Amino acid sequence: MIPVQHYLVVSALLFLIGATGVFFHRNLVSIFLCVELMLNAVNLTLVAGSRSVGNLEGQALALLVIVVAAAEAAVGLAILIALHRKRETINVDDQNLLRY
Amino acid sequence: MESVVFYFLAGVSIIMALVVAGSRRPTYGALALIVCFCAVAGLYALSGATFLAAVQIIVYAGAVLVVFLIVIMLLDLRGETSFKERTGALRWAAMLVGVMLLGLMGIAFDGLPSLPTDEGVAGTAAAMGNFLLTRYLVPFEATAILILAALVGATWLARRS
Repeated sequence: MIPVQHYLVVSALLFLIGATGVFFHRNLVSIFLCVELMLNAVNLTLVAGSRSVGNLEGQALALLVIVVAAAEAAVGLAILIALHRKRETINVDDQNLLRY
Repeated sequence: MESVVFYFLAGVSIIMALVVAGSRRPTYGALALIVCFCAVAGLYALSGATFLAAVQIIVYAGAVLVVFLIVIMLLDLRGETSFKERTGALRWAAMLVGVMLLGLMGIAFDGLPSLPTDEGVAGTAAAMGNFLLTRYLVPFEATAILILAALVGATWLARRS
């Protein structure tokens, strides 16, 4: 059996890469992809925790996270399309309507 | 054998995650993320969560990322000049944030107590279905309402007005 710690290290690295990617990109689509990566890393932690504790709670929670992530992707991409239609750009540095 | 599979899948997922975070073009990022999600699904299956592994491939790699690819194609971003990553100071700041998070995680793992490695739980479709429709019935039904609201909201947001 693989120790649970190894799963946790992998998911921590995935989360770290996703978080750095969010800071790194200016393109809204790439930022969304990195957010999906972070959600997935958290799911891996939940599954590893579920195995470590020995019940299904973590896996049920991971399934709910997947559903919420799907909803988030649908709404986020719709906002992205509306933004591109109205302002002709999805560069996050150009979006300043809510500033101040 | 099991550890070979684990380290292979872990390596694939981390390398593909690096491609996602570093690629200039979102199309390549989305394709790399599909491979990364399949590798993570393999990790799920390896730790006994077989139903979740199937859901991961069907819903995430199969549906969500295909929607991403379709949106990328719909937007037609070829003419956009904003595909450069952040330049100069901001780029180094992002790197610095990453290194600092890595240090924090090192500290967190240093103080981690040794966790038990049970293999008594198997997340098969039957077990998960039983669990979700008894103990987690209310959250499960709430996600149905959430996803309906999200879909109605998404169609309203993306409409041509």
